Amino acid sequence: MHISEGVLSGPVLAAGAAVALAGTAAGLKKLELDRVAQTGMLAAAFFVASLIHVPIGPSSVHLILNGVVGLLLGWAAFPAILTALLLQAMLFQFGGLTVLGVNTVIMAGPAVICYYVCGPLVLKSPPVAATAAFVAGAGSVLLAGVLVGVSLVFTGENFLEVAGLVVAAHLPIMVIEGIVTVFCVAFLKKVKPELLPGYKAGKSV
Amino acid sequence: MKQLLKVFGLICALMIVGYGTAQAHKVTIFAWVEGDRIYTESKFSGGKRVKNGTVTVLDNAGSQLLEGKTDDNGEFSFKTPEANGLTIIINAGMGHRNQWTLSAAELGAAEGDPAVTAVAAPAVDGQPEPVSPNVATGLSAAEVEAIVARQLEEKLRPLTHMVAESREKGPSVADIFGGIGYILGLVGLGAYVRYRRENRSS
Repeated sequence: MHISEGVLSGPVLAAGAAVALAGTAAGLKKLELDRVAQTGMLAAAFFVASLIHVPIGPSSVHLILNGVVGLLLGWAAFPAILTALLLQAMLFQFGGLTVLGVNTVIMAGPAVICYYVCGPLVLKSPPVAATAAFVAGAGSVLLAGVLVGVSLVFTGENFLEVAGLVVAAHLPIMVIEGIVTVFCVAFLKKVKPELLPGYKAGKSV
Repeated sequence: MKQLLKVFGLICALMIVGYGTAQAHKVTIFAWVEGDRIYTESKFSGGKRVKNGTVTVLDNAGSQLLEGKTDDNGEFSFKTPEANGLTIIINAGMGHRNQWTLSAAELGAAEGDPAVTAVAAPAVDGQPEPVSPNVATGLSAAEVEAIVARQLEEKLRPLTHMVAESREKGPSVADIFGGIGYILGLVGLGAYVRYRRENRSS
């Protein structure tokens, strides 16, 4: 899901950087002291997840985990993913520095959307919560694929073709991440429900 | 705190699982000169060949000389164009792109004189292995040069491949731990800044 350097045109890079900057500012502003450590942990998980390759399909795909990150962090997903992507670019040569903004938006944007769409549902009854978690995990990957298509549209590639290819390549990832997210949410609900979005002290689950 | 340790343990476990199959998520292209052709090989660093990727060849000035598609083995070859160094770009689609540069020296060194190579080729094929001194003196300097160049190319091919492959090593353990270390450091910094702000405001 990382777009390489030298593919995108200047305006797209600038727009991506601007949106990423705004999202990061929003995320940092909303970040409370007791969530700093959690943000760091999830950034680390995201950073490492890209090393887990799934050798299915025509391309080379790896775990992304932006659904989990978004669900648990909300807007703080932006600084977390930006940091992790910066380190991936520097240490692993995934993506690159000029495309950092665009790549951040591609992965953190869907994460935030999932937070708002699926977040309120994860504390509901188990079937609803499991479905919401699966949708969050799989949907964030799907949306990220669509965003890759959108960013490549301006370089003359056919949107439907690219988005279709990316999404098709990531189908196994979507399933895996959906399942991972379901287990993650179920686990957290049991041991530490206050990490989940929308949790209010005293409310029985 | 216990919770955090658990999460950290999970991350470490993920990392170990990941390391076994650690491969960079990127595309690479490798090009070499052989005779009067240039061969390219493109793959995703996991070792998967790039099928039907677009290879674009630019000269030093940045103008496009030719373009082609990789075959099922991720290979694409073309006749060496007249140029002072080439930039060969692979675009594997979905935003995956990389490039390889061939300098003028690399192009020139292997190019040789095709005519001489053609003449020399049958001569060397006909020779039994131990070449007697009288026969050797029958070859002109240019012919010997062409034969040596050809043989060297053949012998060096696996070596060039090896070098190209070793350049594509996936992330090392040091990289991974380094990255996690950076993140933990940033967490500390963030917590410190937040803590100070909250203390001041209260």
